Amino acid sequence: MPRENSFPACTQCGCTVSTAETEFLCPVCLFDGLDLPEESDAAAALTPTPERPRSLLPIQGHTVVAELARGGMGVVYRARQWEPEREVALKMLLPFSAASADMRARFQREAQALSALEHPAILPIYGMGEHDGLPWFTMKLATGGNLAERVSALRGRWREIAALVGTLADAVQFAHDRGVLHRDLKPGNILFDEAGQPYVADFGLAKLIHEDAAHTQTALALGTPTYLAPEVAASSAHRGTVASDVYSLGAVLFELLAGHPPFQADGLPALLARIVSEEARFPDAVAAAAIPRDLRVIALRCLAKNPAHRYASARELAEELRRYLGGEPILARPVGAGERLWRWSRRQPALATALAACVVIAIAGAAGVWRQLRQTEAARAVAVQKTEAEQAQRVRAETAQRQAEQSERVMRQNLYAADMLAVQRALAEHDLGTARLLLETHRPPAGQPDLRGFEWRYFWGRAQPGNFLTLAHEGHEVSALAFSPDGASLAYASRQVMVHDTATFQLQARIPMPSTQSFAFVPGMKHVMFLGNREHDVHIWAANAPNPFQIVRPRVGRWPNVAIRPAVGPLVLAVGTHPNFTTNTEGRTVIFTINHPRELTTGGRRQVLPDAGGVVAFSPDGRLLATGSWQGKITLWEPLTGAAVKTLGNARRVISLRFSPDGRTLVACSHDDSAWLFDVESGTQRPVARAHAGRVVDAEISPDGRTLATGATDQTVRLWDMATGRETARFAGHSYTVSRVAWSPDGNVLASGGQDGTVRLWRVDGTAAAEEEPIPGHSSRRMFAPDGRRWVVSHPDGKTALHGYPNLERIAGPNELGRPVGFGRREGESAFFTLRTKRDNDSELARWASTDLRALGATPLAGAEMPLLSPVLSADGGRFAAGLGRGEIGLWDLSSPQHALQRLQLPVPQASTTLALEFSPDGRRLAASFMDSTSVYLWEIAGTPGYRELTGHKGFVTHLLFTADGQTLASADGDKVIKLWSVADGKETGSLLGHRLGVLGLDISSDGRTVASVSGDQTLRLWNLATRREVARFELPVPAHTVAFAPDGTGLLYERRDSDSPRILIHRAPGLRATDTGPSPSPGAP
Amino acid sequence: MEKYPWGVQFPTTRWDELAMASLHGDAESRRALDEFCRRYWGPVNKFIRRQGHSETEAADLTQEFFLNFLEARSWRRADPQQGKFRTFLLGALVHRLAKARAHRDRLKRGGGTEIVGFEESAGPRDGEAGMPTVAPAEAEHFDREWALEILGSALTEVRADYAARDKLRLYEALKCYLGTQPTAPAYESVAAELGLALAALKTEVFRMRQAFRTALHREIGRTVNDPRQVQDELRYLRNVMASQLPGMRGSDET
Repeated sequence: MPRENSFPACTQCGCTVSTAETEFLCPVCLFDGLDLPEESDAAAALTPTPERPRSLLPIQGHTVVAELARGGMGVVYRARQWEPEREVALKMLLPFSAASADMRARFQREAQALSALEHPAILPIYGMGEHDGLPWFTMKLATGGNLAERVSALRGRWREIAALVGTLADAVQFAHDRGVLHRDLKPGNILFDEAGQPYVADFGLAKLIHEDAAHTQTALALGTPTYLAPEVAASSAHRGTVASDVYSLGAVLFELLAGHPPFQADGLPALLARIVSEEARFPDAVAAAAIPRDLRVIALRCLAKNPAHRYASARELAEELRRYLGGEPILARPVGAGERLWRWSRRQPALATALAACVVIAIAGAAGVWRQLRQTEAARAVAVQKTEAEQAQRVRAETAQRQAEQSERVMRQNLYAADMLAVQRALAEHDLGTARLLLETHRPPAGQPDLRGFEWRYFWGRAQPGNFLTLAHEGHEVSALAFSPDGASLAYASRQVMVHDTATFQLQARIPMPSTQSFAFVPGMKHVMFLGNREHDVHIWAANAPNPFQIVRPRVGRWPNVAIRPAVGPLVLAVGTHPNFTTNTEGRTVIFTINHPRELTTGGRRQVLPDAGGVVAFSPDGRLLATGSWQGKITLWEPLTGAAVKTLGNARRVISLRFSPDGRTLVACSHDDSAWLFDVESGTQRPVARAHAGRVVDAEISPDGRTLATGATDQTVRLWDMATGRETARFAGHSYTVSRVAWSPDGNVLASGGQDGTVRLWRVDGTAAAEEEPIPGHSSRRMFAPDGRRWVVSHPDGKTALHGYPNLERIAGPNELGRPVGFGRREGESAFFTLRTKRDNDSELARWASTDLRALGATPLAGAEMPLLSPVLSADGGRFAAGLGRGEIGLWDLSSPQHALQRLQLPVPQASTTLALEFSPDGRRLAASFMDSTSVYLWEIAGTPGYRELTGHKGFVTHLLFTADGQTLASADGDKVIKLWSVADGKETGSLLGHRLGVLGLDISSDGRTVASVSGDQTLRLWNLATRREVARFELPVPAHTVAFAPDGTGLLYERRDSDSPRILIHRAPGLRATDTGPSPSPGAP
Repeated sequence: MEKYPWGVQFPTTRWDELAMASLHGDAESRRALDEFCRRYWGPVNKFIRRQGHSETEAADLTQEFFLNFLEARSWRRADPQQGKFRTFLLGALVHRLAKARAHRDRLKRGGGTEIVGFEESAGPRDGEAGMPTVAPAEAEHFDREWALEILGSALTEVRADYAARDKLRLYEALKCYLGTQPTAPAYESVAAELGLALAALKTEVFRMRQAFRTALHREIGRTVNDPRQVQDELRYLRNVMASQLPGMRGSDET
């Protein structure tokens, strides 16, 4: 339709989509015209229209109205959501905090987990998205302020306080049940709506934001740790637990009761010290006396230093508070008989008064003789009562223990499921460190059940680094890394400087200098190097000298950066020093010109390069020295004279400089999101390596000048084509920032050193291992031999071949065998069965040896007119079933001599085609589904046949599958739902929800933990059977048609039809043995 | 009213038009079909072109989409109670495009041991209508085209009504007052031009606004399932239109 492009923008709203369709009227104004007043006196129309809310930011589906609050990390806006229309609070990360991809991913992960928390006292998350790379989410707009503002108003209203904290504890428990911890409960995070309803807000997020704030790993980064549990405050590695959230609830309760937080001190260190070491108590005895003792006891129990001494769950805390509100004794402290009686009397005042009167009369009327007896009896009664109370207490404690264990188990399962999705996202971002960390947390502790399924092992395999060798020394950050000029050695500085020979990677030498900042090999002298350390000295090390290691030039400057002119002639050593931020002085460069390394001690020529900064690099021909400063100035010098040659353009804060091998290009890193290439001749500069998800820290050009290697804070090492600027390879394996990269002189190996304390060596020639070739043909879960070592592939031309597993090699075929049915046993021998049509149009079941597909014989299927639908064989090979049409199933007893046919007729209305048939593992049941019916029919076939109809699906059921233990039946429909049924009673036990289109294939791993499904929505999903939750999702370019686990659990096969020809692809996962005995030695390691 | 396993029933909205539209039907149903395709051709075609197809490719795909949509009667799978017609149509379109990419027969199972092949339909499944698998930005582009289509239809209806009453000149002179455009000329000058008293002109403007409002409500009413949704849909379409302010527009918007 013609679209008028040049129509002027509407003066009202700036809209330029005025088109012929709307007769060149502005569409937005047309809509707004509807809201003009309806009076016939249209003069009103000429009055200025009310200010239309303009969006401050173009956020999808929202009009951002105003800024509500702004913190260091994020900003909160008031916004109007369009659909459904409502006011919301929109929280967005500020660019600074959103800088790392890791941070963004975690923010999204958390927000997704939170959006699942629907509880009346949890601030609901409505939606989330990203704007210009800044993640945002929307939540309910709570207009009633926060709890911090209400502390004084609540003071003394004990019951109100107990009820409020009880509500909060319920909400926290609700989240815990779903595997979500809050981690930063404090009055500021408890919000109220207009009606005064409380909401727990910012689950997990607040802490998350702070964590990243300064990349610091101490609790100080969290701001005030006032409400943090001691174990969390003491160690940032502690990510929080149920117990630490209970502590925080207790701290909130304490503050509401006492009017101040449990611990106060001047300065953070003092506060931390008190939180970690002091027991909480109500200090002011007089004021404390006014606070109900039970509430004090409850608060202090939450604040116990030892997490085991706190309430085991938020639920227990909520129940204690309810006991207090109901006037019942709390469990936190044994109560005496007298107090028990008094409490009871408060609950039953009338009865208590009457009884008390009786007691008084009885005592008054008693003689002295009885007094003694009575006292004894009373004492006994008290003792009995006490024992009873203790017993009750024990029972309660045991029940609580059981509940806690149950809740712990559910929580572990939920955490597992949530973490697997998080692992997958981390892997997608090459964040192997996070992935491994998350995976490691799910190795089962001794005595605990193992929850891990195929997905864990698959991800574990993917999270293993791709390098061929890892060198590490005590885990200290690698601060310098270089190959010797002859390529024979590789040295790196960690806690000490380690020198390895590059032929065998054996350790050649260890230079005992701690905190080495930099080192440089002396050209032409094997195993001689200069080193700069944090003690401000320059050392020399000569392996073969009698005294191999000594200081040659003390007090040169802060953290000397050394470089040596790589050319014949006088030896020129450039020493750059680190800037001093306290005195605000820039680093500087000094050059020493000497004839022999030893001369450095005694003298030589020393020259200070003015205003140079402290990052140094020589050109390969030795004719130029480049220096870079913190302020971003890059200068080229003539090294022999110390004369400045030129200044190159601007970079920020230079942290690394390297020349290209031809000396014509200088690559600089400036803690930027790219590296910079400077043309030495012309001085022009251009960015390169822009696709890192973090800042580029170091870069070096390959010896052939064609490839640039970069290391970055995103934990990856990447290669870039110098000509096109395109990324050519990506190496993941480091778990923190990659701080140094170095090419071997032959250009075949790249070394990278990281803050994770490892040096990793990557092969650049062959790069990564190629993906496995897909196998053309179809297969399905029934095509695996029971031992899992062989499987059958049907080729598109109808022929069948036998392949090995796991190597996929072809063993026999392809041959014309007929229509594949599956493996089964016959006469004690495993065989592969196919359906064949004989000349007389009858069918027979042919058997083929499972070792080589040699023909074993055939069984005629009497009474079977073709076609037989969904043929299936029982696991023991004793029975064969197939749909006969018209809602009828044929069941052949292959063990009987006549192969008797039994017909199972189902009352399915129309002539109905069988869609799925499946024997239970014990062969006693047969599950069936039909076209034109949404039910599953579960037949008992062991004795007199009878069936149970399982209803609940909305679409036709296309797949049926039993778990290996035969207790659960899974069914998938053409709608998109997978349902689980208890085989024993036919009750539905759950659904696997998530697919957006019909399920095309389904399998369950043989350990019974994982369900795999493929769907028309072009995904392959894995589900954790225990929690019914999705644990992995693979987006496929086209839908897959079948999916099957290898019986040993080391592979997941699925069939894809790219350009009409079916191909089988495989996801591999190492076996548990491999994953539980540590990383297997990488192939190809020298 | 046919009853399907998933319990579909059709309300008296645009779905009716669909029920009537048939490629093989009588003159009435062909007219309904023609009307249906004519009306949504624009948004559908624009959407397909945004997916990176050339003009001719897009024309073919649009044609194919409508043919398939009607032939397969995929709209029967939708639950009209669940979603708006707009979102359903978009869902079906996205689905169809994905299918086209997968060489048309991707949902058919072949060979192997099972012979299931019943997903031959083209439409999204029950409940799919509300959640098309499409990027929100793409969906908004579609919705913008849709909004234009709806506005256009309402304007055409008003114009036809005025034309029928031989008042086309009045319509042309007053339509600029339908919106809130402050660039519209002063009432006085238009009144003079038309030879009307000022009060009479204001009354005419009021009437035309009413006619437009009614027409627009009716148009939107045919694409939602509940009269209560009309206001929401109006607001949504307005907002989605307004979100395309300068600086927020897609780079390929022409």
